[in-house]
Amino acid sequence: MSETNLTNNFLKTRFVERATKAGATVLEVNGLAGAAQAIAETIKTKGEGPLVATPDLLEETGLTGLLPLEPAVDEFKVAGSVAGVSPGRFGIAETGSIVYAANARLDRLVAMFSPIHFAMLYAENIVPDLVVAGGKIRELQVQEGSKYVSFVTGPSRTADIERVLTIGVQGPKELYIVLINGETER
Amino acid sequence: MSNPIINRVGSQAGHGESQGHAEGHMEDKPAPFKQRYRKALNDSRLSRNLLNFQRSWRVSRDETFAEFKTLGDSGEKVGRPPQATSTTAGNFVSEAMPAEEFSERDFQAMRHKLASIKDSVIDNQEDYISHFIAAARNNGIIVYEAETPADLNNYVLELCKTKGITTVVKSKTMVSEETGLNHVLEAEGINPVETDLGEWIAQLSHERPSHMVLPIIHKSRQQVAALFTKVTGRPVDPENVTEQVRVARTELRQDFLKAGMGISGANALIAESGAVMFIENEGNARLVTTLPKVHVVVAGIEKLVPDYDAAMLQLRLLARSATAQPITSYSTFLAGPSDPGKEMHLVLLDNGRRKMRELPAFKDALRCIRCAACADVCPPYQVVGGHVFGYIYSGAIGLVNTPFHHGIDAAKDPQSLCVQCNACVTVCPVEIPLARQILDVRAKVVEEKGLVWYKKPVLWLWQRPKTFDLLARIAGILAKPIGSKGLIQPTRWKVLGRSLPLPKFARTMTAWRSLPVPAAKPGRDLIKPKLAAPVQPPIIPNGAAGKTVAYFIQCLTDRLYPDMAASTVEIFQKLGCKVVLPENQHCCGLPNLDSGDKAGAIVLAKQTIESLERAQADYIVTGAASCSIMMLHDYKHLLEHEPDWAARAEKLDKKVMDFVTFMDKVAKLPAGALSAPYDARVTYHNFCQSGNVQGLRDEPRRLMRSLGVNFTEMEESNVCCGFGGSTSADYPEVSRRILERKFGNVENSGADVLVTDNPGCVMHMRGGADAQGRNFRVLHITELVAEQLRRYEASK
Repeated sequence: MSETNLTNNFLKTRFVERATKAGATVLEVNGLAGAAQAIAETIKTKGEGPLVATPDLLEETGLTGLLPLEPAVDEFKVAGSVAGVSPGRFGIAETGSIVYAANARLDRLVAMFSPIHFAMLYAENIVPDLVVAGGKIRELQVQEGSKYVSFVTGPSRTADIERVLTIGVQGPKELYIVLINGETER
Repeated sequence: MSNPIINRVGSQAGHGESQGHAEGHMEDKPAPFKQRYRKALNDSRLSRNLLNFQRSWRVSRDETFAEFKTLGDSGEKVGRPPQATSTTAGNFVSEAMPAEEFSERDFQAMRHKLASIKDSVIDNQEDYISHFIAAARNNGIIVYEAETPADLNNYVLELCKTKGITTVVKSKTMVSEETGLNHVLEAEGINPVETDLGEWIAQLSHERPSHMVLPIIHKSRQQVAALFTKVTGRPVDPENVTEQVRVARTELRQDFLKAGMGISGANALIAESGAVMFIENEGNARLVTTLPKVHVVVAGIEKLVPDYDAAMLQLRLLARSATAQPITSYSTFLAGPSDPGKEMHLVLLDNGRRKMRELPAFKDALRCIRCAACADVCPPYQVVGGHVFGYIYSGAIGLVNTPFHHGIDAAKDPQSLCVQCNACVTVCPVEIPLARQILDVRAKVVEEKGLVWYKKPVLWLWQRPKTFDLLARIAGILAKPIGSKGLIQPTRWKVLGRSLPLPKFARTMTAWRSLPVPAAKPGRDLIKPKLAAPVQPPIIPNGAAGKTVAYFIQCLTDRLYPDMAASTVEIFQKLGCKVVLPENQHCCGLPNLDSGDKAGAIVLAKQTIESLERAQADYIVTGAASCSIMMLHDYKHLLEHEPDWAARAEKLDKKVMDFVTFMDKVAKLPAGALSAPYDARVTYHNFCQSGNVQGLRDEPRRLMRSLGVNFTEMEESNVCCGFGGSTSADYPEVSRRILERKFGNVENSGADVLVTDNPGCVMHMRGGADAQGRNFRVLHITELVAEQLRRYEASK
């Protein structure tokens, strides 16, 4: 195994461990077909409603044709969905976070407003820690002009009432990270 | 009232809620301090909730930092494989990551680094502000600089009016609490809706957040259910927190969808890019900043950081310190309006921050990242909560910044609750010298408002050692008949078999704590005759043998515990030391400093320096760690305007030490050296400042091992006993409850003997144990060592 592979495996292991600890469920899959299958399996038991992705990013997910994805045309569509799917930019091994850079309001709403959220991440796009991540956000915001960059770490939560940890306040109640092994197909 | 939410709720909610909101809106200002204090004391649930919270926070906070440190120390460096270097570790390892980054994985190193970064911003504040503003404007953000709270409020109000906005959704912002923004909007018919769960509950109950991170930590689930039942008109399960959270999700969705404006705070303002960083767990801030067409960020100028690297470091420290998480669910970096038609404003607030920056004693407080860790370890906060321990900002930082943001009158009473235990200083992620700053606020309060009447004559007398000596001796003679075993307990006094009717204040002061009988003959009188004796050979080989020790008795020991003073001298002599007694020693000045009487403290500090300078000795040792800490840590700050005196104080640093340090660093008795039969289990209370200021943790335990006693560790050994100098006189109820927390820990440890290293703690705990009939003895460390030396000699 090459050293780069060793490194990537190490980062992936740590990422999965940290993301899981933060309350996310990691679905490790091979390729886009695997991703589609894992998402389809998961939502089977999750009730009614469409599976949505943003109009802009529908193509970028690479899942059209593999899943019955519907465009999230407005916030009501997102709110009424069973789940939303968005492609993450990169992951952070130190914290198990997914990083989004989404300028369009609807791109963000899919990750914020849907009850269940599937975050797609290519395993090769995991950086070691926040120090490296900081440099990458600088690139995104200063060079590429991304206005709205977010780290998402686990599902929405609160402990405001008697410090009882409760999952799913305003954001998604369930966060699935679809971790894709194999080449980026973008 | 035009506010639908407020109208829905009416004026009251839940049990035990605040009274007096008949008009149905939140008061402009918090109720008077005394009223808030009484209310907090009467709410038994409050202190119970906070005790559980503080205990669990401490454990989980320490774990998240330890885990981070372990990752760093193991060589694995968080995400990095052990053998990889930056050139072989793949695309995403920054080539530029400096080696020093690795030391960040230690809390001390991390916080020191963030503190120095924040200092560089504070020192060049105006440059950073203008750089940030230019970058933010370049990003399309409309920036407004507000000097006063009214400026900020008016700006937001006008914006709402201009755009015809009637509903505003807000995510958590302490700055808007600081400016009272909600009242201003409500008064003009605009409905501000808090969307952070805790803030929403606080808003619905017409209360303010009592904690910066957990706004309703003072409330129970039953209270929340009652409130939600009122709001929704549907029954809400009083036990089911999940259902209560669901109510918030359902109710607030409507507000999110109809609001014309979102108002958020900021955790950092990133100068290099003009971006705003905010972190949260609930996801409401993301909706607030995304759904409405207009977004307004309100932030204090202290939120500036230079760049993304600093922001990342802040992330690592902030979540761990605030909620004991490695990172919160969402961290967002917003660099301008993000989609077409969106408008983004940023209001930068001064409100006293620039003034703070100009004062060397206070500017460090501008480093604050609002994690509230200072509240999470604060013993008086645990008793009274954030509505009392603070004003709008609560916890130690609230005592420091309130005079700047809300005036000295608002700060006057809360600051006096601080026990100076320094626990806050040990956990602050930006190294703010909070305890010292609170004393500076206290001094300012005394300067402007004068001393409390009953302290005036005491502190006046205190500065006159000869008169005091005379009066103390007379008091000793007079008090003798009313004491028993060296203690006075007025509730036990009987006349013809009947208890005396004591006034209420006397009961509050003494019913739970017996007072020591002043000695007719002070410690110095007992010691003097012993000093002439020739130096003895040490009874056991040790590093102090042959050295000369100057003994600083300390006022309490001298006047209340003369036998303790005699025992201490006995120890030095048995170790083979020559003991001298510096002439004219009286008091280090701590009681004055602690009361805000800086001038008096300076007089006494100088007296003490003069007295100690004349002593011909290798070491100057005191059995009172509070005094040596005063000399070693406070004198320089106290005398900063008199460099000659500060230099003289500094010269003494090499010689001055507390008894435990002397035993550990000089005498150096090996483990078990003084083993002798002693049938008792001993536990140790770290005088809070010894642990928190001086870092003495292992030293007293090594000393215990050298004594060979049966030692057992208690929980929270480092948490204050509640004496807190003047606190026990000013707030006996607080002092009492902190002592009860301590005693609970002692009893759980199963110890028969409670040992500590400060006479103030001895007085407080011995008096408490006596009045409450507790089943353990309270000893000063010198008393235990002296006893054990005698047993050791007897066993030879």
